[in-house]
This record gives sequence, structure tokens and C-alpha cells, in this order.
Amino acid sequence: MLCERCKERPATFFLTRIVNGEKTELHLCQQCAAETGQLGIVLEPQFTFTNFLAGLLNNELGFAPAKQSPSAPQCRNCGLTYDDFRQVGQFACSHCYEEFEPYLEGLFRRVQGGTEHVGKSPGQGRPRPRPAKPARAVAAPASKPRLEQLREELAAAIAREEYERAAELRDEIRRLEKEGQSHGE
Amino acid sequence: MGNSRKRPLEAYLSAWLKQTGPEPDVVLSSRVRLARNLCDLPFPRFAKPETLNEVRRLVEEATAGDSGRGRLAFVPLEKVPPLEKAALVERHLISPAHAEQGEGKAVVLSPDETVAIMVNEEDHLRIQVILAGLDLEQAWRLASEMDDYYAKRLSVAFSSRWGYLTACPTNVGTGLRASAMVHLPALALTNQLPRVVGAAAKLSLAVRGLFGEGTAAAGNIFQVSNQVTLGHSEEDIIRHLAAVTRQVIEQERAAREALLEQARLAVDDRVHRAYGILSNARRLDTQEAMQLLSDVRLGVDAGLIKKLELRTLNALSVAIRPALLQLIVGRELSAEERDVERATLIREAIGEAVMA
Repeated sequence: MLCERCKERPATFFLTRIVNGEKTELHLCQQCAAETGQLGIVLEPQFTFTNFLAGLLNNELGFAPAKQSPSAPQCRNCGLTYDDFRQVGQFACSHCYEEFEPYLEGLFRRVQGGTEHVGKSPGQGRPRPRPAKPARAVAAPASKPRLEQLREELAAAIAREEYERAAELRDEIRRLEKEGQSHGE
Repeated sequence: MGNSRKRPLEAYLSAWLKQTGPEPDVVLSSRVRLARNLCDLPFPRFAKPETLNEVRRLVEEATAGDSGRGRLAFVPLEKVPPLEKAALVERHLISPAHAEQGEGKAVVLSPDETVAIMVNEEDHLRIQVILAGLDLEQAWRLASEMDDYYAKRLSVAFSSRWGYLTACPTNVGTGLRASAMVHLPALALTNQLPRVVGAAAKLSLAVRGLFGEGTAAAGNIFQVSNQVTLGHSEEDIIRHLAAVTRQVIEQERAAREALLEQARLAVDDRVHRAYGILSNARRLDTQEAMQLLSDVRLGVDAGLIKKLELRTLNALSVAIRPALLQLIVGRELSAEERDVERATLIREAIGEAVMA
């Protein structure tokens, strides 16, 4: 069998990739295998999960901010915009999570199923059973329904692409959450 | 046999390759990986060289203490020759992506290579533990201990709502990816793999080839791993994966029994032919060797071949890979030379086992 790439030399590399049952095969000569990145680790055009995710963010999820929207969010720590995030499919620093918070619930529901962390936290040898919400609710009982209401308003504002309103709501939510936490502790 | 080996085979084998663990007839190893990042600093993909080097410096400082896993070696990757780097990939101690050129990359290794931490891969830290056999709970415990060790010395990016903050949204939450490496020759022979893969996918688990995303399943070896990292505790994720892996083990064992019942002679013939080739061939490429080792392993597990130990096969399955083979032989080899040396290595290892 001849190499599928150069169609000159005999194919000595048989590359098979299988992801969840999808199988593709490629037959290359030694030289072409080396040129394309050896032993089948890098081949073009390459499917990567990140590209796939970026595609999903761009087309599927339907909460992309309007193009050139002046107040489309941008991370104040690293400068990544939400548009960049949609392109790349990756966050650029730990602050991006706060900055893009309004958009994440839908995304996480889609790619993860869950939307809230359960499990271990740093500096705590043992995992906790559930996030420490009850304590907060007890400490500041009045603020919880208000928070929920704000979160709903926020989701609605995003759906209507009212980003300035969304930003205000986000800041308000953050302020209330901080208060709740300091009450709790 | 007239072989001037620089270092013995053993010197290149991580602990999980020198021994067998629970359920050794199907499960080769269990792996747990935790993705962690430092607060405020850009994630590696977006970080400038200075930042990457700063992250590496911070991790190196943090590594100097007593982690409880023996003296940790901090290895800057630009100091590792290409062949040694490729051999780290072959031993699953770093990812193929981490072996590519890049600023500020490092790996931290425990003496027995049970713990391997990638610095500045997709996340600032990727803490990994590999153990032999099906031992996911213990792998998680050890990884969590390493995580606690670093959390005491570095400020780790975490939010009470989203959990551990990672570069990719698919890792956020626990940052935990657990996997079991399984040998499924009978399911493959009886064309049942698609069914198993489909069932795993329905249970939010993935079944992939040997080196993770997008790689082939050499020698009927697959990885089963969790997909979801947010919304379930680490214990739940581990328990779920272990339970599904046990199901896969049962399916594989049932397929082996059925094969032996219905086609004993055919299986016996196949495994002994493989054994015959491995103990006599003068040239073997990786693919052929992996397939034959898979057949022989099936023979050993089924009690058809009695003279060989699984340990030897574990060691060989990794030692015959191109980079490790060249390190063991002690010089660079062309592809043709590698095939000759591979055949020699296997012949000797199997011969020694039979003599012993």
C-alpha cells in the first residue's frame, strides 16, 4: 500500500484514532508520518475539544452577546473579552469566571450538567458535603429571596441582550453575596 | 546476548509497571488527575513568558518541602533531551502536548513516579497519580494529599460557586479527571466494543485509546474516564467510575469465558501462536508487538500460558515504545533498528521469565 499523503513511498505507519467509537484510519510512509508530527499524535486538520467547544459557544448556545456590543463583558484582570472566550473556548485567568458569570450557568448546564460545585475546597483536607449555603441563609435570611430575584432579572436581561443592565445586576448580586458571606462568618 | 545496554529495563519503569494491583486481569492502571491554577495569574495559554517562569518558580519553591511522598524531583522540561521527553509521554507521566516546546514547562516526579505533576500545561498545575490495577479510591486519596500540600503553599484559584477554576470549562468544579486503563481483548474479538463504548457514553463516561483524546487503542487497551467535573463530589465521581469499570470488567470476563467455552481451541491456538512469534521473531514493529502482547496476556489471564507473569507483560507493553526502547538500548535507532531491538528485548524478557 502506498502512503496516502505523498502517494510515492510505501505506507509503513498505520494510524488509527478512535474517539467514542468513531474510527478513522490513515496510512503513511515513514517520512510523511514524521513530517506530520510523528506517530499520529498531531495530524491536520485536527479535531480538538477546545475547537469543538468554541464552535458550540458560537453557534449553538444562543446566548452570544450582540456583535460589537459596547458593553459586552471583558475581564478586568486579564483583558479577555467574552467574544475572545467564545472564539477560543478557554478562560484566560481565574477572574474571567466572575466577569462572565451571567453567561456561565447556561454553558455549564450544557457541557457539565451541573452548575454548582460540590466537593473539596482548598485548605480543607476533607470534602464538604454541600456548599455552605444554609449558614448564609440563616445569617442573612432577608437577602436570599432578593438574590434569587436579581439572578432571574439578570438572566432575563441577558436574554434581551441588555448588557449594561446585566452588568449592574451582576455587581448588585456580587455585593449582596459578599454581605451574606461576611454575615455568615 | 551480546547486548551493551546502558541501563536495565527496570530503571525506566514507574511503580505501576513493576507490579500488579487489584483486578489485574483486566485493569492495568488507575489514574487521577487534578487541574489547579494560581489566583490572578493568566492561565498558561494566555500567559507571557515572564509569567510562566514566575509560576514555575512559585511551584518549584513549593515543591521543596516534605510532601510525604518522598523527595520530589522538580524537572524543567527544556533541560530534558527530546528522547527522554518522549519517554515521559510513553510512561504517561506527561501529556503529548506538554512534551512540545514551550516556556516555563516542568514536571514534578515522586521517586517511584506514582506522582507526576505537570507545570504550565493547559492549567498551572496538573497533579496526577497512577497506581497499578483498579485502585481509583487510593489514587484519589494520594492526589488529594498532594493537592493539600500545594494548597498550603500556593494560593489556588477557587470559587465557592464554581469550585476550582480551570482554563477549560470542561474541567471546572472538582478539576478531577479519573481513568482506568483496561485491556479488553475478548470484547474486541467478539465485536462488542461499540456496545460498551455506547453504554459508557450514556453514563457520562468516555472510552478512548491509550494516550487520551484522539489516539488509537493499541493492543486492545482503552481508557475509561469521567466527563463531568462540576456538580458531583470527587467521591461520587470516583465511585461512579469504579462501578462502571467493574461492569466493564465483568463484561470482559464474561466474553472471555464465552470465547473459551465456544472456541477454546481457536483461542488456545491464537495465544500460543502469538507467544511463538514473540519468543522467536527477529523484527517487530510496535503495532504488531502490542497486538501479540495483547494475545499473550489473554493467554496468561485464561491460564492457557502458565510460564509468564503479568508483570513482565506490563513492563514490556511500555518498554517496547520507540523512545523508551532507544533509552534502554542506550543509543538512537532508526525505525528498522528499533524493530530488531524490540524483538530482541521481548525475546530476552520472555526467555528470562521462562528460564526463571
